[in-house]
Amino acid sequence: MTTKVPVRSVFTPASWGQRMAERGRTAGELAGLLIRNGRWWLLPMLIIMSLTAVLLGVVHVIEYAAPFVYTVF
Amino acid sequence: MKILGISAFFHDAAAAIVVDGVIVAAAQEERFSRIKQDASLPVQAVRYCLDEAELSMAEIDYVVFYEKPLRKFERILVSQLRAFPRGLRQFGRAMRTWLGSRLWLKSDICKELGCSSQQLLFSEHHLSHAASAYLCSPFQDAAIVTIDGVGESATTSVFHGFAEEGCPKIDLKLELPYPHSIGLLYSSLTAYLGFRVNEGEYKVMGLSSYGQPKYLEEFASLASVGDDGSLEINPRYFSYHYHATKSFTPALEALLGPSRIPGSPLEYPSGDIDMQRYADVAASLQTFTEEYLLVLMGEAKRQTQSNSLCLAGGVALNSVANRRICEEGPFEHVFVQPAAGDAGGALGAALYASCVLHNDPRPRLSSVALGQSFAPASIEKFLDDCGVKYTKYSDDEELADEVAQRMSVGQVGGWFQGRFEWGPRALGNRSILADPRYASTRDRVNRAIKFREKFRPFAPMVLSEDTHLWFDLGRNRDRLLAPFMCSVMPATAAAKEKLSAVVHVDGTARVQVVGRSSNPRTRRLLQAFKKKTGVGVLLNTSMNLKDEPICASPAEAYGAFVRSDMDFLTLENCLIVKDQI
Repeated sequence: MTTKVPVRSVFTPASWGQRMAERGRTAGELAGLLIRNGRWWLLPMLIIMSLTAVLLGVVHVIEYAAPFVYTVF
Repeated sequence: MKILGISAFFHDAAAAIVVDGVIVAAAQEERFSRIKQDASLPVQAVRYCLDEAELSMAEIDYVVFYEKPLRKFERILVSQLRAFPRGLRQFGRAMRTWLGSRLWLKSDICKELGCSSQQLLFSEHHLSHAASAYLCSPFQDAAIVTIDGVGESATTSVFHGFAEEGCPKIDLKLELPYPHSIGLLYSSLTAYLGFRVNEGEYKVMGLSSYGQPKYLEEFASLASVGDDGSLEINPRYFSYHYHATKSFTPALEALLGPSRIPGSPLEYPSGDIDMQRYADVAASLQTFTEEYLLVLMGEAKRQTQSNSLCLAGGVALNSVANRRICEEGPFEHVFVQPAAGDAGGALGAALYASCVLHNDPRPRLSSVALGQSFAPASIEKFLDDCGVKYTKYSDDEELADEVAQRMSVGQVGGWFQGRFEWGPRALGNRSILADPRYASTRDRVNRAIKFREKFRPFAPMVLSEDTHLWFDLGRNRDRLLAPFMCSVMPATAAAKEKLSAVVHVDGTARVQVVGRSSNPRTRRLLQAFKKKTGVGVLLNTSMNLKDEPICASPAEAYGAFVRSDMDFLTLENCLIVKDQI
């Protein structure tokens, strides 16, 4: 009935590279799952949405990309 | 094997650690973060579990997440597209949440917890629930029924748990697909009745006792029940599958009358027509749910031919329905996982990996005291540092006598001892206790201590040897549900006469039976109270104030004590009295 001394619960976070690699694997797993379940037709929509999300993120982060984006649309 | 189970990102995030088949620790994140039903990754609960087991993350063999996020994402995508264009707003919201963070849960868990992706496994939502009930139960062969809102895509599942060459196995027998869900129907009607979803379901259950099931015909048009345990929701009345904030349509209000405005007053008994209608709707919902569950249990029996039943999932926290399942269902023995909601999924995921995949011995859940404890010395230091006056008792008997004396003269106090409880119920380790004999005490606890609705009942805890004097155990004679407050029991005539603070308006009570081997300090208190009053029963409610999680630490308990009308507080063997601090 006593509190244990927290001696060894120090987390070692994964690096940025490891996280990105893991995200890539997750995307691959999702694609595999949708193909296996006969729902491959969802993939183009997901890819477009993801690319849009990335584009919006880039536009927010890199201000000077705005003029180029403007010409695209 | 050293297995860490986690649940998160819906509601009730939790962590549990199992070492060689022994449940070393289990706790919900809300107890540490102080955010009620905290759904975020349970980093603090994980840290506590590792500390309790004296392990580092590197020493953990597997971290098991309680559901499969990719399958859940697939279900959300498909159901949103099916509802197109009605669900466009929710679709946008869901995609932002999923593509922004939840889809990358695997890398986020690895980052936050410092585990490797090789350590990380994913169980299935309902399988985790099933494992949390079956593997903690004393049964070798059992039907396992899991019922909640929705998991990956199933809303209700029936499994068969059995042993094959000494190894436990869990086989899926049938499942009901989204959106046909008794849990979501209950939640939608909870919202209709003006309560918060995932939190107000208890209130609906309490409210149902004030009404009559007058709307059963209307409920038959909300959902149809098949003899095979199937349930088909009529989408005309519900919008939870495409609307982000409203789970029912105007058609439901046309059928049952206008919905209740959240926060509007509820007083019972009442002559107000609308208030009575709300109670009647709640009673109809409760009856409809019970009737459906009985049909489902019949199908579970046919599928498994087992004499025992294990229940888990949020709907298994419906203690009134559990009573009917015990009394009228086809099973001889019933066990309910005390943390039947999503928090329990963390324990189930860990147990499945430990006991089924690795064949570690199965645990027996004899106590839910699986949370953090605090050494008496640290409590004394806290009180000294705060300059709080207290009396220290070296003898437990003396402390029990003093507390019993205070309660017998109408005082209400906090009772803090040992490890905090696993699951939503306080069972004598983080409890507010009072004399159960006077309705005025109940009203005072509701009004000035818990700050909650007057119509909500309080639960009693009773000495095991006195249970028959006050309550009817019914077919639950093996008392598997009684220690964890998982089922209601009808009160005897003596209880209705003498225990007015804990007998609900329908003549039942959600009883916790305190046995000879469980919780010795609380049992001593019950005995001391019986010696003074002749009643081996106490009113027991969780030690928290309105909209707060149950207290975990002495500081939180002291905070609740100071901010409410409690008369005294015990922190382990220290007694603090309000008029002396």
